[in-house]
Amino acid sequence: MMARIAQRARRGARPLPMKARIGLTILAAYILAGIFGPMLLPFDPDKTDILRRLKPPSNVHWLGTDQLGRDFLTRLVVAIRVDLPIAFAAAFFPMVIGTALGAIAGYYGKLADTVVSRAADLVQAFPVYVFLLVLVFALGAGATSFIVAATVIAWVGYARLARGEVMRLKSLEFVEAARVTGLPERVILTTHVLPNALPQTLIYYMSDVVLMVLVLSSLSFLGVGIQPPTAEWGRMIAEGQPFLRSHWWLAAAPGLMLMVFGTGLSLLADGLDDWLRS
Amino acid sequence: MTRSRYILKRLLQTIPLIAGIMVLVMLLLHVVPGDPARAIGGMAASDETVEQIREELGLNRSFVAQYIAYVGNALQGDLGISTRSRQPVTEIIGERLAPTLWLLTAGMILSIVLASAVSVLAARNKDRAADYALGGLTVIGLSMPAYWVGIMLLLLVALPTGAFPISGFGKGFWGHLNAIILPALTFAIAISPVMIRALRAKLVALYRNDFVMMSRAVGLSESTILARHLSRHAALVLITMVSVQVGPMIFVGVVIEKTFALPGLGQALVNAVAQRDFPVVQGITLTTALFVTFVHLGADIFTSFVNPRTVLE
Amino acid sequence: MNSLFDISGLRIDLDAHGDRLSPVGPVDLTLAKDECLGIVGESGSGKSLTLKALLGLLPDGLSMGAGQIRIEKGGDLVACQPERLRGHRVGLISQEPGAALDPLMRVGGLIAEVVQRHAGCSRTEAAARAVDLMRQVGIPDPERRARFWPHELSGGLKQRIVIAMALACDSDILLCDEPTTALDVTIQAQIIRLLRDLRDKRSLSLIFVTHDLALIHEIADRVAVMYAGLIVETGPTEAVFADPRHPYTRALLAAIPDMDSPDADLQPIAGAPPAATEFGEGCRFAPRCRMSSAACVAGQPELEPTGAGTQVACVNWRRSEKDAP
Repeated sequence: MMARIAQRARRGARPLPMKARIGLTILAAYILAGIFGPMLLPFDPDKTDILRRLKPPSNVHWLGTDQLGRDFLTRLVVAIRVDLPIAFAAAFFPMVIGTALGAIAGYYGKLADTVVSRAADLVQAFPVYVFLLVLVFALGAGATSFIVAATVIAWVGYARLARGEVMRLKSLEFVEAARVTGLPERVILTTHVLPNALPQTLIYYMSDVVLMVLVLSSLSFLGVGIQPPTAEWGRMIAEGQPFLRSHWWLAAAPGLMLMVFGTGLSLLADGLDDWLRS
Repeated sequence: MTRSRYILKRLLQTIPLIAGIMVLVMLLLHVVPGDPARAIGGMAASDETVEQIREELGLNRSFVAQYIAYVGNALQGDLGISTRSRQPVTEIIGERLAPTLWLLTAGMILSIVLASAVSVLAARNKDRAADYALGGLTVIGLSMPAYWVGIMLLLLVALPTGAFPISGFGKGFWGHLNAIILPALTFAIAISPVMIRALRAKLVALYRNDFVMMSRAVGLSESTILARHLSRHAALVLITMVSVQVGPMIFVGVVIEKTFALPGLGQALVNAVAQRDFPVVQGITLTTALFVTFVHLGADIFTSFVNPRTVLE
Repeated sequence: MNSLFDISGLRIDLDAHGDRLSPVGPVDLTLAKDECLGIVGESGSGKSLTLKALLGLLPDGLSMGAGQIRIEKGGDLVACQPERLRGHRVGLISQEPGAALDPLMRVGGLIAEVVQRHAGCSRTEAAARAVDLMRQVGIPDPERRARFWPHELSGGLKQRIVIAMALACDSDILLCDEPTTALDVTIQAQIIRLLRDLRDKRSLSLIFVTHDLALIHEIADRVAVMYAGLIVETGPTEAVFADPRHPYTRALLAAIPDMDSPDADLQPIAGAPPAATEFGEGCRFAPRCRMSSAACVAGQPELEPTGAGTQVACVNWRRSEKDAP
């Protein structure tokens, strides 16, 4: 992908589409807020203070306090450090494993292809997210089990993508040419085929991160994801729901954080896709 | 190959699949790190209790023996007994089935209606303002957590109007219907964006198709072309989307049940997970997996009726 | 000449920002009753677009920028919107019979749908008439074949279904857009024979678009040669073929393999037709023309009568090929 982008830059290609620029801005804002936000905010996100619970927004607590008296804005920002890394990781491992399996299946075919494709079929025949819920149950709630469970189910999409791309690229001339020059298969696959299959995979990865952050927050909302007192958006929505009549922002704000992040990343993925195709 | 043979073949294919699903369901217990009986009983349980759980679940027998016993019992409608409430699992499933089926059915209908309307509107106005606006809404829709959409509907619709219950399943047919409207709408908002993406792309491609041009050339009106020709192609896309998306749909259903406190299977599953009530988790997982299998099967059969070429392959 | 269908000043524009680009036109065409007009040209010459514009079926991004379409009604020519002609007076037979039929409907149903719309009859009656139309276009065992799906029929039979759909409208004008290009040679001949039969039996008038000069010679009474969106030569087929005046027409005729002397040199035309963006001020064929002179770049020549019944748009039409430098 880097090679392709560099190539485009050299060619003086079109600038990034508006979609991608908006998406990139949103993503950068989240990452910066996640890194520097907690340093700038004076509150401890986990420090409870029953006497100051459910305070409305004020000069001190800009977004008020939650049901345990914690500063709500601080928790909203600190949650970036929970939701984003876990979602990026939960989509990263399946990407690595799935792409590897798919590339092997697509490049070597035969038995390797049969085994990978049948395994993918079996995973897809299952209600995967219910399976994920139950897997997290079996492994015990928490970030690690979420990432493991996500890897078990999410590799399939990457494998199918890589398999298709590799099968398509394999027949192209430059790969044929590499083969004629006597390069070993492994070298052709890793230096010629995979780098070309990468852009689509990275775009798929971005939309998968959006999905993962939603699934993670859903599990936390259900009480089987990230456990309290850690600040996590889905959990915060669940905790805010009982106070909907009086303190609607407690449930609304974390959802907005999720929605804007997901929209930003989707726009970036869409925009990059358009850009690479143009 | 005739259609009946195709359907028979598809039916036969589900048998090994169901057997495989049951293996996975059984395996769930065995991926628990350490002693599963201890994990279920909890750290505080006495050794006798743990031993009793082990006995009850047949964990002291070989995996094959457990599997045969489980499949044999399941075929007779026995999925074991809840380790918490001592109630038979099939009974729990029976009690909890109705709200879930209501939600899935109403939600699915609403999703299809919403997706069709938006896709036709977007495709007919391709690359115009309406198309871009709907495309933007679709991206936002894909990024909204379903439970949050539900809570926002409670905040913005149920609380101000007072027309809908904020939790529960209501009483009687009309009560159920009233209680399911907002959950079903939530479901549709969560599920339709994926459908819209696929359907809009398909419709845009179809509008460029020669047979649409031919239909116009013989004087068929745009509405006739849509109703008599494009609708069939759209139905195929939608049924494929339902088939592919049924897993996520069930998950969204579970989350929505929790949001609206609907006493359905999803709630029962989440509770059972929280209480480490293994037979119930196993039973509900099996039920949803079977549901998914039958939706896949039903979608393939439906497709074989609409698309004559599927039967050939 | 007794005009049935008359097109004047037809121009097709590209819906782009900035300067106007017109891949086709202005084009004038006229079709007499019971006549077959052939339009011939290389691919990209705009002949198919012209045909589609007559029914308002231009693809996205193109539109009819100017021109008037008139059709005979009670002895007079009256102006009309292309969309209004669809399914009434004018039918269309397209290039790819495979793509022209909705794959999710049985062929009998496809024809019956048109019958029903046109005649407003009941479904059973429409189905019966569909079978009848299938028989008329020479489909054997039509009762059984009406129940077939499009993919179960051969290309030739599919094209016959398309023709039957066009006939179901009771049109008196049939636009044929390379109706045989996608078919085998033997099937091609059968379809041409069918079109000729139908033309006689139903007194249809045809506009037949193709790149195949031999086919034009066989079927068309009059021919219009199109190049880069303009008609460069037109007249009775025999006259044009016997004494082509436009260098492009000559080059086209020279490029036909001669069956009698297969060893004779073929003379392909060097270069490719220009895209709409490359149209200059002068004659659009000049860059490829062996006879081009200074006068050719000055402006696009208009069609002018040659006296032999044909019209030609070339400043040098009086010079023969031998005079070429």
